[in-house]
Amino acid sequence: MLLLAIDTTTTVCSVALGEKDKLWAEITTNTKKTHSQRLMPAVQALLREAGVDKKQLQGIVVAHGPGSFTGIRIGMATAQGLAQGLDIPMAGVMTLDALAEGCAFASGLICPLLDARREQVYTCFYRGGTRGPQAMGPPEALSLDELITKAKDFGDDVIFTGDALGLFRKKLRAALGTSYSEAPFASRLNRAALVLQKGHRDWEKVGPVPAYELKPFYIRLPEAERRLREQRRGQKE
Amino acid sequence: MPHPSIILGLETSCDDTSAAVVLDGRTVLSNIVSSQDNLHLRFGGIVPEIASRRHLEIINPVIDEAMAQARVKFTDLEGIAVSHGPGLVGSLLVGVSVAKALAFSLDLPLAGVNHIEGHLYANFLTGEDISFPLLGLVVSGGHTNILYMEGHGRIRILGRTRDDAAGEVFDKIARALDLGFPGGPVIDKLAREGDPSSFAFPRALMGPEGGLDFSFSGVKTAVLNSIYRERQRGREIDLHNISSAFQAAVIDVLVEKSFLAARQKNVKIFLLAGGVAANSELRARLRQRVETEETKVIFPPPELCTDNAAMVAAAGYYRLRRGNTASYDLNAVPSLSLEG
Ligand SMILES: [Zn+2]
Repeated sequence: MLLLAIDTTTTVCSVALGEKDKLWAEITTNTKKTHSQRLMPAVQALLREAGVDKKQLQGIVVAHGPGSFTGIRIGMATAQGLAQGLDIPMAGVMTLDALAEGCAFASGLICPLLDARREQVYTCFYRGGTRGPQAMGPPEALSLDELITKAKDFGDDVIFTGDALGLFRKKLRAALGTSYSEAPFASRLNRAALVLQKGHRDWEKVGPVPAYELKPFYIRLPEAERRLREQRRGQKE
Repeated sequence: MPHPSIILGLETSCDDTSAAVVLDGRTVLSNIVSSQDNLHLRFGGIVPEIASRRHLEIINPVIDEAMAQARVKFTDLEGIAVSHGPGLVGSLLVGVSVAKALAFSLDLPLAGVNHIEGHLYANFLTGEDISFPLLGLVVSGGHTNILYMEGHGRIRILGRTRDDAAGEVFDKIARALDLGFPGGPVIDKLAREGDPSSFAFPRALMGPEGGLDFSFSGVKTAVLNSIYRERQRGREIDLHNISSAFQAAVIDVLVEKSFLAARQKNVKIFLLAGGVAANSELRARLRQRVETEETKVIFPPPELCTDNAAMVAAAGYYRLRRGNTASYDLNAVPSLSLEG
């Protein structure tokens, strides 16, 4: 089973190609250029480097959020276009799940953090293990205080990862003391190899999503929608 | 190399998701437009994030529908065209990303089309004979331009709006009168039974200092003030009359500037395009004033005036025929220039 994996949900643009338990190629860039300019050339270069014709691809896995709304859409629109044009199935991998894959060896808890703006992070706690990281709850957007409370409630060592670590590092370390640790930088990136790893495992278990049914995983409503709901709630009270 | 002949066009620059299949840049085999009007209604205007989300949800099914209705397969296509600006960046990115992925998957050449250029090319789908050089008036919710075209891909802007686009003003006035969105068609209909001289609204930049440029903020403010004044006095506003007087003020300027342009440039063809080109009064008045024995006025049927992918496929056809293909790093450009 040869899958193409795509992750453009953060500033990292990453594509990978491989079978189960075997990475064939990966291209990961973290530059100022937009995903729109980087992604398709990266897919093309990836296949060329690996000596693979696009018609050999059997499926596509795409990181479908949470993350940057625009980044999610560029990745998904590209994946959908490829799946439609090549007539192959696709599936989604949740970005936080993929990040947790990068720390699967952890003995304690794994906690990926993605920048959710408005002083929040998209996050989820995982327990590491031989069957892959197991989520301890649904992914959510949390403030720093909420995150610290959660971590303390678990009462275990936590290894933090993800691109928003820089924002909260000092305060997390101060609040959690010796139970705080962080993943080395190469494991903190949203790399498509991780999406591929998780994607292959899910594909075996649940298979691809029926055509056009993969939904982006924004977590948050559009700002305008959120404000409208708040207004209506205010009027009812 | 044979010329590309069956082109799939994609259009997602604002709030309509559209895919179309066009033969030889002339014949529309299918043109599917999925409007989002209902989604944005409760916000009183287009919300970019909501528009982008909707585009992503339905673009691929819309493409399938366009292919099915045209009775063609992906292997029959000879090119893909997509509008990559101007427009809302998040919306544009969906169409651009899908178009690039499809072009790559299917080994097809890709054309990046300017959306305004696309509007002009809707006229090439009318079956009329069109020769260069020509003049074009593109009027919609986003743009008001007088264009001079020396040949395919050679466009110069002779006049533009200095503030609001004409269609935008129609929408704003319609909202002030609680007529809903979009405002153009309702005002057009109401105006037919109104008296254009019932209110005196200004015609801006009509002197030599204006050249071929437009300004519609003055007439907008004047109409809004009249609505306010009438309401203050507790008088019921005659919707027919105010629509008629407002529409006349906008159309007078559009028509006069078009006439001026036609007098400056000796052309056989004058094209009208864009959402406002569906306005029946504008069509009639432009024909009266600009059409002569030498100059023919052409406009597309209403369904090709508003945003649609058939016009993009038509423009893309001529781009590909010139060998003007886009590479896979094609980006969405919200303020893409026509003259590039
Ligand atoms: Zn338009």
